[in-house]
Amino acid sequence: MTRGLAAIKERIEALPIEDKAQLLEAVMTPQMRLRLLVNQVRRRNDEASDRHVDRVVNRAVKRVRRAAGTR
Amino acid sequence: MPRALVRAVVDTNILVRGILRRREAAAVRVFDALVRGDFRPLVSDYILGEVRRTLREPDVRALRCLENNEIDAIVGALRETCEFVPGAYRDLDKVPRDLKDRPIVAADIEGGAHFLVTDDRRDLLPLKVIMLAGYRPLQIVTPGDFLLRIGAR
Repeated sequence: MTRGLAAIKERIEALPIEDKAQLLEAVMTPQMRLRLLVNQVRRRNDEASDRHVDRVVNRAVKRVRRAAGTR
Repeated sequence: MPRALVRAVVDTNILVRGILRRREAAAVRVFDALVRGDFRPLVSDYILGEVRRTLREPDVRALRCLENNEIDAIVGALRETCEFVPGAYRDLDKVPRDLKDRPIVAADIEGGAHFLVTDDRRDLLPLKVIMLAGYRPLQIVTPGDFLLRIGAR
């Protein structure tokens, strides 16, 4: 690591947590943000089996389309 | 020279299952390929609206304890990750199928998509290809077939 990079790293590490979060938000690409959000969601609530997820989602899409009058 | 990326629209239920499912499944692998940029995903307001409304359905929300702000953040990031098309194409009389499919097909045609990725075996998959004069032929494929076509991991 060059001296310049080391200095930047040091300054980032010294930032308060809110500023660190703000900085992260600013440098994250939409893909990174999407990956992060989806990984958080997928890890939550182990009780819902994938087969159950499929059934619930397919039924919900049909309901949404019926309500929108497109089915 | 870099290979031109395949352009594709992913149907709503594949997107939502890709967001919520945990284990390896074709829907998850398509969603992960979308996030990695293995293909050029296209979305319209119609598709994003369906994704948002589906995620807000009480039984869907309960699957992963989703909050409204979280759903909005996912849909926002999805919009920014994908290429946006208005989805206003209306001349779909040559597509003799259910009205519900038309906004999805409209986004494909307008965006010059190569593929529509869906598991709608009743209405869309039997069509196999939609050819409209002046537009790129649109191939309608299952998530599994699509992954093979793009050689995704």
